[in-house]
Amino acid sequence: MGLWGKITKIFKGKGKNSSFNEEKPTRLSEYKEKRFSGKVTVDASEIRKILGDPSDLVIREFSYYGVAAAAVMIDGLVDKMVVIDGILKPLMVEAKIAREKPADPYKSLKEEMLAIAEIKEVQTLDEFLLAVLSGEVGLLLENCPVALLASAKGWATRSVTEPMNEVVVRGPQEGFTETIRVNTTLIRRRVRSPYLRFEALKIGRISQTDVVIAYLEDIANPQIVEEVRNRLSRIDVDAILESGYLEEFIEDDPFNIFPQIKHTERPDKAVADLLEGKVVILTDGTPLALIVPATFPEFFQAAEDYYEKYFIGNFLRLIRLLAFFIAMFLPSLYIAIITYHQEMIPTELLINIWASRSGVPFPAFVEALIMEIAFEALREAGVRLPRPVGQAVSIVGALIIGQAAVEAGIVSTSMVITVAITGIASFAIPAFNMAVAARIYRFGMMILAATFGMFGLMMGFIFLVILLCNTRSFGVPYLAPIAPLSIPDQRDVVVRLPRWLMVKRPKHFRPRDERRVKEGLRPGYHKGEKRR
Amino acid sequence: MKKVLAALLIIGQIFFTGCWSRMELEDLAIVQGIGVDENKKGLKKDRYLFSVQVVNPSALTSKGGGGGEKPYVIRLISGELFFTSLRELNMETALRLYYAHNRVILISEEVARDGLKNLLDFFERNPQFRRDNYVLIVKGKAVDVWDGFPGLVKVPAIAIYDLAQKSYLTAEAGIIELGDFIELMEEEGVDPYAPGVKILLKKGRKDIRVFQTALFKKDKFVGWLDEKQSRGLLIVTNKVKGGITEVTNPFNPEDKLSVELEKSKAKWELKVVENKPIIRLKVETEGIITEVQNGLDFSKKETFQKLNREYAKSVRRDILEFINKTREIGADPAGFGRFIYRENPGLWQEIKDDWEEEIKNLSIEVKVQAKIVRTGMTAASIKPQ
Repeated sequence: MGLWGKITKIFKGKGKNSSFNEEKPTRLSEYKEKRFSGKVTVDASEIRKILGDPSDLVIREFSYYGVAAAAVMIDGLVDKMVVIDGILKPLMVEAKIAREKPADPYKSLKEEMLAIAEIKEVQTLDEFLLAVLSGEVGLLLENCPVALLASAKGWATRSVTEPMNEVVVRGPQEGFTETIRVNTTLIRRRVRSPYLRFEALKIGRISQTDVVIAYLEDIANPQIVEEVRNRLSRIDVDAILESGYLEEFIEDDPFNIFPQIKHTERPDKAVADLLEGKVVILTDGTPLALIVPATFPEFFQAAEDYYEKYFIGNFLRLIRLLAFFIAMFLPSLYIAIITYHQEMIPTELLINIWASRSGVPFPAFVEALIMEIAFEALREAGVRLPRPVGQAVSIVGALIIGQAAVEAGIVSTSMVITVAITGIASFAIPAFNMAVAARIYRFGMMILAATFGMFGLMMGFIFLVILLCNTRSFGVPYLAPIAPLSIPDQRDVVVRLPRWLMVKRPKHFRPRDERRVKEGLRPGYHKGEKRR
Repeated sequence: MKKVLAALLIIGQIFFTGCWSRMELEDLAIVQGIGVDENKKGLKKDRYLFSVQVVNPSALTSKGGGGGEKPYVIRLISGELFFTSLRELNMETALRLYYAHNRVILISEEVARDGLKNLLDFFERNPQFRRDNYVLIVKGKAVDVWDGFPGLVKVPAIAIYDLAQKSYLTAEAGIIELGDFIELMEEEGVDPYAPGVKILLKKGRKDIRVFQTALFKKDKFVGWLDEKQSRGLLIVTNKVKGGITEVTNPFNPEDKLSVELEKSKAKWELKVVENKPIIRLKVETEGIITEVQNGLDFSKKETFQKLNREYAKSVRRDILEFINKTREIGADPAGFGRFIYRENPGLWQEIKDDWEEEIKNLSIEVKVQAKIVRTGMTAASIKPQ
């Protein structure tokens, strides 16, 4: 208990029934035992009653060889054309034209008449309702104790478009969408392996969101997969609207600002991670897939590193790493040097900064704080506002305020430059969550630098290293393969070796199958080979 | 509760300390040069006149500049102890004097004559001073140099610093940094030296010139090496990185060539004959012809042989002049004594007590091998037709 118990108690709030009803894990579970009556009209009105007769509920009653039948569906979730061509037409028209009444109408319905790819049989009302609410067409038949579910899902979806937040110059331009089936397809299309596994889960008492755990059974370590499965099945909330909901429930250390789970909207990136033995978690309703386990160096890798020639990729990656350190430490370094270690600056620069700071009313730390907060606010405003307005904000913020503040002598030009470089550097980090973590950590560093100078900066850095070394993601050390050090795995950390040298998968994900490239594939002429 | 308290105390530490030794940059007066002069009044209390040169950054940078504002300020104060005086000087300057970026230390000839050990103690003790400050001996008054014409760099102290850095171009001044100066002073068998600086009046303008070398015995200034002798010192101590030598044309004594020293290596050897040390200097230099009067035939081997001989002669002359001067004064800036000490400590123990006399009769053999390696972009000279 202790401190943490006290804090949670405060946020629990007052109220009588504050715990989940254990006997009712979903909203439909009270109909778990409920079976169909066999009377179409009775069942139909029962369904109507349960769902509250909403305007989008369609119950089409018809007769099939004189037997009363009904198709239950939610308008908008089903593809009307499929319903007409695959269900209603065969049952109502073709049956009448072509055939005599069969002995067992139900059997013929299921085996002969329905021109639908996916058909399921359900016994209880809860399964039936869940399927209908998920977009399937439920078929009820008079005197029949079971119902049929025909898949005719088809609702308005966003088509597969370019991933908005992970743009590449070279590489596939497909991104995940909000529909989980499209997303699994995008993955399946890239790996035609029989070992690709999609394990489906439904999470959320009210939302009953589809979640799929994807992994390659011949590569991924079963312990990691099992851990993912366990952590996901623990979750018991009302709804999952985005994969971020899941992330907060399954990450290792909730008090760590550094992200321990990667997310991506690029199917190629997800597949690349599957191939390294990681597990991808797809959530219905969001284009962002979670990837676990994640290590710190991975947050600085972009898909493009692997598509461009390795020289280019490495150059970009080194710049990104440099940008991370700038985003993390530049303002605090500036404050520390300006207020404690003036002897460290080259004289000419010192004279320059002196001149730009003369007349500035605030100490360097306050000045930096003002600028950093102004910058963060500006960035946030730019993200939230509609695009055309966002442009105006950046013009007003960056050009007018920046210029005016310097001319009025409220901030120094050197500080504006420092903050601007820091801002640009933080945008160069490909993972947004890592960039934000670095930005938050930066404020702490600034306070340390303002109170202790270089000494404080070193304390902050040491704390950062300890923090990172202490973090784990699904049992994998966060700093792997740097700490614990694995020399062969350095082939894809700070720099990436050419593909023909990346012969094995990273060891820290403990893959079942290590080798990924045949040895001796270096192109070009080898010694003793005949030149052609 | 205990945990909360502990956490609060730990976090509180940050704020209880109160930013020890924090200084805002704009509260600092950036001192670029410090000078010491003899105060003419002659009183012990006001024995020295200390001067500092502080830059005025807003006049130096494009920002608040213009307006005819001088980019530097000179502050003076008289006193006996260095640090006391400078602290008192702070009572006259609004900003705190900050010495970490000091570049040059100017000491007037008169002050240097009385010995520097007490004055330099301050620089050794104060953490703000860098060891790479240049020490220069002023021919005249340091205060006058602070007002010299700095040219494009705008601040005289910076001008002196740049001049000292570029003095390798002529190799006519024995440049030295504060740390090395003090080291040479404290070491056995070697005396410190420092370059000279002087104001030259040209068309009513006070130009600054860094040249020649001041010689010391222990910490007391004793005399000057002229330009050629200074170069001799630099060649012998392997500190030379350039310098122009004028060589007479071996075929026509009326014409001259200028040769720039490219590379030089002096090797020292100690020989003891009848308990007397003999130092042999073997100098190998390489030079480039940079200017020729009336042309020479460079296609012949003989030309180079003769030129090499002439060049060697001239280098040798510089070295001998330097040696003669040290013999005359009895100072040892090249560290011949230290060399004997290292090579033959026993011998050094015998002669060290009257080394000052010994050096006047020390036999030094100088052998110079000079070589002209290039003739510049062309071998031929301009021949008007």
